[in-house]
Amino acid sequence: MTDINDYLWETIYVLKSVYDHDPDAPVLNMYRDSVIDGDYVGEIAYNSINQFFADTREYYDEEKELDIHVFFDPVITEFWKLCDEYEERRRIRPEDDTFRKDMCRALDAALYIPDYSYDFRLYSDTKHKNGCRLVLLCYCEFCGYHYIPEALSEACDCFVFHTKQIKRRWRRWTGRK
Amino acid sequence: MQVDLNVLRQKLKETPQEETVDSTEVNPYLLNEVLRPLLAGKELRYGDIDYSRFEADDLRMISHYCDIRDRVICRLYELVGGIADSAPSACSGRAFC
Repeated sequence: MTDINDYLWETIYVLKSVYDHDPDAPVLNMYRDSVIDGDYVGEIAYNSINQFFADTREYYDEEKELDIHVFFDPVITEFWKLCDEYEERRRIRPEDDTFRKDMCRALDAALYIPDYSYDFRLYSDTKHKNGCRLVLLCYCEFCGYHYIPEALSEACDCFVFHTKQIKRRWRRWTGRK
Repeated sequence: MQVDLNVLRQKLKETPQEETVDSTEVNPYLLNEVLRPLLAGKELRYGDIDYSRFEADDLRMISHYCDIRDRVICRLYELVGGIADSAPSACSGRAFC
């Protein structure tokens, strides 16, 4: 008989986050035939990390015992490019750009996980050879993987929403549709 | 603790059958199509779940519902254990011919 515990609901919660982002996400198919079980929570969460952005790369730093997840997506690049254009047009410094500041605040909130052993970095330099990206660092004591899919889903929504905002402002200035 | 089993049986018969934990706030799909089959011992697969029929927050709600339900069951077991552990005592009057 299935043990009905909090982890069981967490597994469904993780897959629901994925489904809300993309109902055809491969991870939903991957677990289609698996019997619902709270023991899967870590595995499902880990396998869901790459379902939100177009390209996800994973690395492991053995020396620091650090799991590194790097996310690339056209929506990330587009947002920072629009910020660059906005700053150039208004002749303001990036640190004075309200779109940048709003985005950083929104991502801070979206990527908040109740666990002390993680961090994330934003790379917004559009001219950098590695491109714009979001990096999630999970240290060896990190045990909040089940929070990550929802956080990433919200982060992705932040990029989509703020890109729309900056485009709307752009249109208002230029009068272009 | 002294319990008159005849009185207890009578009281249990008179008590209307109702839900011990309020489920009005729980998503009906999760309650009837997921939780109840699981409680009945049915094996559900992730592919059986229709993710469009509930919101993410509903899962917090049903998890909370399960916690309360578990606590009620625990209290019931304690009560049953208390009755079962109590030493039997003879009737003061004659009970049969």
